[in-house]
Amino acid sequence: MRLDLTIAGVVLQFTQPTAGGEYPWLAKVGTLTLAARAGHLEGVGVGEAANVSIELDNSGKQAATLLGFPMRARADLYDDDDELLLTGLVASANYGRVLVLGIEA
Amino acid sequence: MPARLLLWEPLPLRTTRMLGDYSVNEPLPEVFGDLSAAPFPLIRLTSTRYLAADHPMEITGVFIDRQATAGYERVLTSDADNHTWTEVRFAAPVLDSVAVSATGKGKRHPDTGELLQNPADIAERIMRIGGRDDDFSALRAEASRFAITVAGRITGLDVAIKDHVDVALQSVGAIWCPGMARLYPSPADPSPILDLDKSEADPRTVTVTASLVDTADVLRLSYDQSDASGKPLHYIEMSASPHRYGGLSKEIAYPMLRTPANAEAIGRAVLQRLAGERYSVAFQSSNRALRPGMWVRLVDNPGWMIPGDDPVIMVHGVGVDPQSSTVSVTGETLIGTPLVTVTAHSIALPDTVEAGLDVSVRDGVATFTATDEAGRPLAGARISLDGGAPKTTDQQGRASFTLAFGQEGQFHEVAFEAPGFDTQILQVLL
Repeated sequence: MRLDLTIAGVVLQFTQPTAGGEYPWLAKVGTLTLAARAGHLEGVGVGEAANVSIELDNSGKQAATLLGFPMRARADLYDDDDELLLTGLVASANYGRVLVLGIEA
Repeated sequence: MPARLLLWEPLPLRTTRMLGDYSVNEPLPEVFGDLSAAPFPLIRLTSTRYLAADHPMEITGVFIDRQATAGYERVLTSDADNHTWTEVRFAAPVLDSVAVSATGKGKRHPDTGELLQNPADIAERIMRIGGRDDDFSALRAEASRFAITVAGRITGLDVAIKDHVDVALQSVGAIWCPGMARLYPSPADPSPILDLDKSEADPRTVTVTASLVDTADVLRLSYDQSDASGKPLHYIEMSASPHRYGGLSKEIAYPMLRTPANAEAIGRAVLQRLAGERYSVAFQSSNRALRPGMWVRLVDNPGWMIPGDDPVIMVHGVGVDPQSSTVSVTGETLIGTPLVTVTAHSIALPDTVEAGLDVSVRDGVATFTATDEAGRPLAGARISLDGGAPKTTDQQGRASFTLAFGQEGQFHEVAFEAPGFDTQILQVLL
C-alpha cells in the first residue's frame, strides 16, 4: 500500500515500514468501501462517498511535523500492485501517537 | 480548474452579486438541453434586465405572468474575465411582483456546437464546477445508445455536489459513484459482462437474499418538470404482469427527463426491477479490480443455489480490505423479469391559464379533467377534440373522448371554454 499526499504542490509518499521509502510510516489502512448511489431505487444503497481511514506512525510527532495542517490535501491511495484505489481529500485528522487521516472521495 | 471539493460540499455556482451591485444574491444557473416546451424562471437583475443562464443560450420564448411577450431582447453580456452570460432585456420595466419565465435551448459544446443534453454532460459539468475530473463516459455511451436525453438547470445555493448529480442522473435511472455512472437497470441487455468462475467468486461466501423492500407491480413515473411551476408536466403509468407484489404501486419523479419515449424506456426497465424476481447477492472475490457499476456473471458457481441460468449481477458495492487478498462484493440480479404494459399516460397543464386541464389516456379513451384556479373540479366547461363536437364536463370536471384506432401517440388540438375563464386551444400529445 502507498499513500501519496500532495501538500503545497509537493507529493509525499507514505509506505509501510517493511516497504522502505522516504516516509515508511503507514501503520494501517482501513477498509475502503465503494458504493453506488441511486436515489430512484430504494433498495440500492444511497451510501456516502467512498472513504477510508489511514493511520500514520506519529510516535515522535514526525508525521504531524511533516504534514502540518493537511486538511483538503489531495490523497491518492495505491494497492500493492500500484493500482489506484482511491483519489480524495483529507477530510479529517486525529492527532495522537498515530495520526489518523480520514480520506474522502 | 478550481480547487477540488468533496461531494457533500456545496456546488460553488456564481451568483448575481458577481455581476454587479444587485439587491439579491441568487445563484446563476446553467441550462442544459431543450427547454423549448418547459418554462424556467428568469432571475431579476433590474426592472428591465433578467438573467437566463450563466453562459450563452438560445431563448425561444419569454412569458410575463404566463403570457407570452415579444417585447424583449436576448443579450449576451461578458465581464472582464471573458465570462459570458445570457440576459433578457425588456423595453419597459417589469413589476417586481410579476413572475417572468422563458423557454429555450441550453449550453452547447464549445467545439462541436451541439446541444449538451446527454446526462453524462450535465454530471461531468457539475463535477468540473466542483474542481473534480470524474469521467462518466460509460453513461455517455449508454445514453447515446438508447437515445436518452435530458434537459434542466443546475441551480440553487448551498446544494451539495452529490445532490446536484443525483437529480441529473436519477432522471435517467442511473446509478453512480465518483468516476462511474451507468444506466440501471439497463433498458436492454447489459454489456459488457465479466465472467467470474468459482476461483474468482468464492462459492463458500455467496449469499442470496430476496425481500419485499422496494417492490411494486405498478409504476407511475412523472417527468418533464417545469422549473417555473415546480410541477411535472407529464406522467406515464405502467403495470407489470404477473403481479407478484399484491398490486402495489409506486411513484417516482424523473424531473429532467423530457420525452415520452425516454420515459417509457426507463420506466419499463425500472418496473421490471421493482416487479421482477430480484435477488441481492454478496460474495468474496479474488478479482480486486471489481468496482461498482460493473456487470458480472457467476459461472457454474456451486454457491448459487437457485435453479436456472448463471446469474448476471450488477455490482453495487465493493469493500477493499488491505489486509485481505479478496474484496467484498454486493449487488443484485433480476431473474424472470415481468411483462410490462403502458396503461396510461397523461399531461398536466398547470401553467397555461387560471383554469387547469389534465388529461389521461387509458384503453383508447382520453379523459380531460377541468379544474378552477383553486384546483376544484370545474363542471360545465366545454371541451372539444380536433374540432369535433364539444362535450360538457360533469360534476367531477370530466369529459371523455374515444380515440380512433391509430390516434394514440399523436398530437391533437384541444379547445377549452368555460364561463369566467380564458378560452384555451392546446396542442396535446395523446
